[in-house]
Amino acid sequence: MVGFNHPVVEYNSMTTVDQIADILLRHLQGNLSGAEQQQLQQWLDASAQRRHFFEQLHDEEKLREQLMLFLPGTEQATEQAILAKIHDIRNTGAAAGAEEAIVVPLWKRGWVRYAAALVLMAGGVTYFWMAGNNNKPAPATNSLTKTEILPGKTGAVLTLADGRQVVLDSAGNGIIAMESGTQVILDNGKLLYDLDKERGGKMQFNTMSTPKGRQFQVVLPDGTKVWLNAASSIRYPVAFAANERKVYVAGEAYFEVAKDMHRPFLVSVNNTADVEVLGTEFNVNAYDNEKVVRTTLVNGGVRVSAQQAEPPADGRLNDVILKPGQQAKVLNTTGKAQQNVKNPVTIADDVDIEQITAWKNGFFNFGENVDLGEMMRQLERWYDIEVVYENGVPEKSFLGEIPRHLPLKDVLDILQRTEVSFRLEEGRRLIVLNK
Amino acid sequence: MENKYSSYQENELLSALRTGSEDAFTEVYRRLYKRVYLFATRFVEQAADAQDLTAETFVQLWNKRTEFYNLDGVAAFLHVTVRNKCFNLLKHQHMKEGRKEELLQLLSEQDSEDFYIEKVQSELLSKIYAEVDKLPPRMREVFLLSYREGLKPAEIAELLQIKVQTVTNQRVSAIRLLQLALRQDPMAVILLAVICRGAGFLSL
Repeated sequence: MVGFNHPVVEYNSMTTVDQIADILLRHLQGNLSGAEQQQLQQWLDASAQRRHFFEQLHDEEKLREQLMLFLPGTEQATEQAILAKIHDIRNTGAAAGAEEAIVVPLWKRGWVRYAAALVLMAGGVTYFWMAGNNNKPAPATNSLTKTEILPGKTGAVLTLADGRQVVLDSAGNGIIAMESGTQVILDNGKLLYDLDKERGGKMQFNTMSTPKGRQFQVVLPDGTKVWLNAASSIRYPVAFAANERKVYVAGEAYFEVAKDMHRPFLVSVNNTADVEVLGTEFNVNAYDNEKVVRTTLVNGGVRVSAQQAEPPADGRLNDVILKPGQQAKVLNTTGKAQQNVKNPVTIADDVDIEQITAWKNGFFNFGENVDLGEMMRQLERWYDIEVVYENGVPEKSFLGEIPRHLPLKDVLDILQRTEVSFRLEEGRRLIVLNK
Repeated sequence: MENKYSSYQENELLSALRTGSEDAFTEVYRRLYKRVYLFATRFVEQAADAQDLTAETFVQLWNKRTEFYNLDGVAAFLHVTVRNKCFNLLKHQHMKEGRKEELLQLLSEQDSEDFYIEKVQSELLSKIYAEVDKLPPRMREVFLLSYREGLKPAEIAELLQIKVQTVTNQRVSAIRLLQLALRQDPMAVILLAVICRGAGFLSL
């Protein structure tokens, strides 16, 4: 780069950043006085970059792009997006300035031939150097030392009735879509449906899903609040039917159902169980890789029934009504085509509500009922990692509460105080070892 | 994205950065990333590329974190670094020869201070948002939504729940409303034209 030339602005001490921005705005508005026109012209004359910038200001697409990126609502998203890229680059150990360091083009240009000739004469060291570098350029030094695995965040994917998908962590707050007369609004990590009027006709469904590492909250058209944990989804109509409110859930969700005497609230859980709600708060846990679907009642009343059950022949239940503090378990037969399997529902009394709903309040809460396997599966979903057991699954469990906003490293530090140790490997793999 | 360094003075912030504090780095990033990003977007076509370049620039900053004693120094480093990255990226891109030349030439020019134009740009954007903020809430929402999604006039009419046959009358009042709000300036008309994607919608 050549040295720089001092611009004319030095002589015109009037134009501070604020003043020139003001003049530019008023130029766009068409409100400049003669004197201001001159000021602007002088400012522009001083440098080609300024003139280039000025031109871009009148480019519709560019202006629109910038306005959108830095809107008070989306600015956070842009800030986070770039920060995420920074962490990605650092984590993959890309050597800084890799693109500047290696002399690949020269090799390719056949400079090698001359070097080869030299080698024959010089011998020894040079030849060794040549041979060593004859392969692809040395891969970037892998710094596995500091792989930051960050915790999950608020965010989800909304699939609209027409199939369009909106990624909610990069959309700004405000109206994000219109669906059959209903406005869909994003408000600080929550999705709200503002039903302008009830529309008749075909029911249209939206699906909210969280990938690994994300959780979200949605307020359904009837005012019911739903918290979605990582790797979960809920499918619901944009406007509820006249006689019932039915939604479909997989993964884990916590419900606070809005009272509606005329319309019972039904949850179909992972094609395994049905929960009929009698006005209330409850938690549903139904992951494919867990053996049991668990519905825990916090307040009110629910009826839980198994979907694939034969009529009870031996007196076992396939249908229960829960009281607060109880949990119903239904065997998870997803993926198994066993029509003959009786699918009884069992009840557990006095479960630890706090432990079961801890995720919604921002904590991991492990306890005697949570074995190591399940604990690791929770970490897998929240941190988007893969857990591998080096020598079998240890028979251990842990007691305690850990905040979910901690990076994985900190969580592991806490857990390592027991007889299990962990090793974090490339590609987000966590190895579990018995000490 | 505030952390405890948000209110720190320069000295302490940089001192923490030198000792490798992640939070301090994030705070420095927060204070300076916009300028770097705006710089990149001026010279690089794709927003994603500009984001990548910005990210790489800050990674380089992290790698040299022990060397900085004030934010001006950091800004100077960021400026040189992002400029070089834009230069390298442009050199390998395919575009009309004259245009590439022009951009490369522009890159080698130096203004009175680092990121001077980006400061002006940032300030101007703020002023524009302030004007948009003055619109009545519903109007503002419609404006922003349609700006973002590029809605057609018919879709805007649906959003505002205006019957199609009366759109003609409504059109005028929508523009007039905006004009009044933005102090009767052509900017509003330009922006509305962007929303409505076509001169047909405007009755000037």
